[in-house]
Amino acid sequence: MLCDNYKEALIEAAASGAVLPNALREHVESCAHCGATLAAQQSLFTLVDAGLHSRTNVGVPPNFEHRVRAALQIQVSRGRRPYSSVFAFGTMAAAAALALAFFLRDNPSKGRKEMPPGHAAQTEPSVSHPGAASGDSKELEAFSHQALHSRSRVLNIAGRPNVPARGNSGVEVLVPQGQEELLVKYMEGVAAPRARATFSASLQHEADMKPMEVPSIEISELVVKPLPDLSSK
Amino acid sequence: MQELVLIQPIRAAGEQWSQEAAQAARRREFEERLAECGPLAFRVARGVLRNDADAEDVAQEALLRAYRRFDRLRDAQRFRGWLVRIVFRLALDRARSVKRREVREIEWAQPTRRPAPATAEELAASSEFQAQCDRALDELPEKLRLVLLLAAMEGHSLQEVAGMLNLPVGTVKSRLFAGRKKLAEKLQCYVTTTKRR
Repeated sequence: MLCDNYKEALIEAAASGAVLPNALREHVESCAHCGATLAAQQSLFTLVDAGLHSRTNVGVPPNFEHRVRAALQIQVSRGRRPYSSVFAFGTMAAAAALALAFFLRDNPSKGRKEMPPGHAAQTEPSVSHPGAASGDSKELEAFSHQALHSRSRVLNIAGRPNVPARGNSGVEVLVPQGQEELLVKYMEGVAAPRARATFSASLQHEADMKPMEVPSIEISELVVKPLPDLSSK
Repeated sequence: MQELVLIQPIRAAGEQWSQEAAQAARRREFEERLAECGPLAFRVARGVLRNDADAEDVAQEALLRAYRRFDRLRDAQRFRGWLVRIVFRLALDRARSVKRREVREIEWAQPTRRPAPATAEELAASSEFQAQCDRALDELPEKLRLVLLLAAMEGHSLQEVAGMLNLPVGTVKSRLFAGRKKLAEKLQCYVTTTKRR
């Protein structure tokens, strides 16, 4: 049938809403069946568009935006927690590590296996001393004695300044030969009490901030210099 | 001379303040976009889910997700399209997870219906047609469905839809045409209904 050839073109025309080509328009005007088909297809697409329009343009609930803002506020406040919890965890971990370090320093024998007194002198230099590979037993013994002596001196200064060293117990520091005195001086400087006062102005916006009392410090000259970036601010 | 060290945490506080200020600015900017694009997010979700409560949930989730990733958005002009894609994806996930299709089919199988609508507009608004249209729309490929929804929504032009989806206008046009045609094929039975009237 001739009209079947036009059917697809009619659907396309109804879907696109475009103007019919001349040949098709002349046929539609002369053929009642094709005219009805075109009208039916046009009404179908009108239905489809109306259905889509009514389905998609629904009213938004009046409190929708308010709810989203509230949820956003909750999320923002929750978002701060992980940072603070991580910070708190980090602080606790650092404190635990410090405590462990102090514990091991004061009780070094608990952190390692018990060894006979001469064992360390025979084995440890074989690891640290370069001459150990040569197998020179006299040189090895002399080095071991020096190393042990150096360790004891360092322990005496750094760990417990007023307590004499107890053999090879305590913190062990392997010192290169000839640098023992340097290390001793360095540790004396570290162990010496330093006169240092710390002033923290964490609540700088607080109006009723009381002046700091530093009774034990005598300040002969005080030079206050503003930090460069602060002066620019 | 004794050494007095003044430790002023101004620098740290300043960094914290600048971070908070940046966060507040980001939030302000996002809230402006929320006022502008919130309804669009809801409507896209509603277009897929056809349920106000679910659509509200999904739109809210999408907006919060968009806020979390707001920093990653390089071009702020693309926020609408970005949000639309997030909402559409979440809504599809929700639609798949909930078995609503069976419920709708049960409703569709019930013989008692309202009186037959007289005009095409009434027919389009009728629950019977809406249910059939929903089913037909659900069966469309996702890329056609999203274009159909956006083109019918809020009077978007082809250019606006193309901009939102980051597609050429020609692609949007062809998808729109194909989608409407597929829908019409699935709703062909309504042609005879209206023709008889």
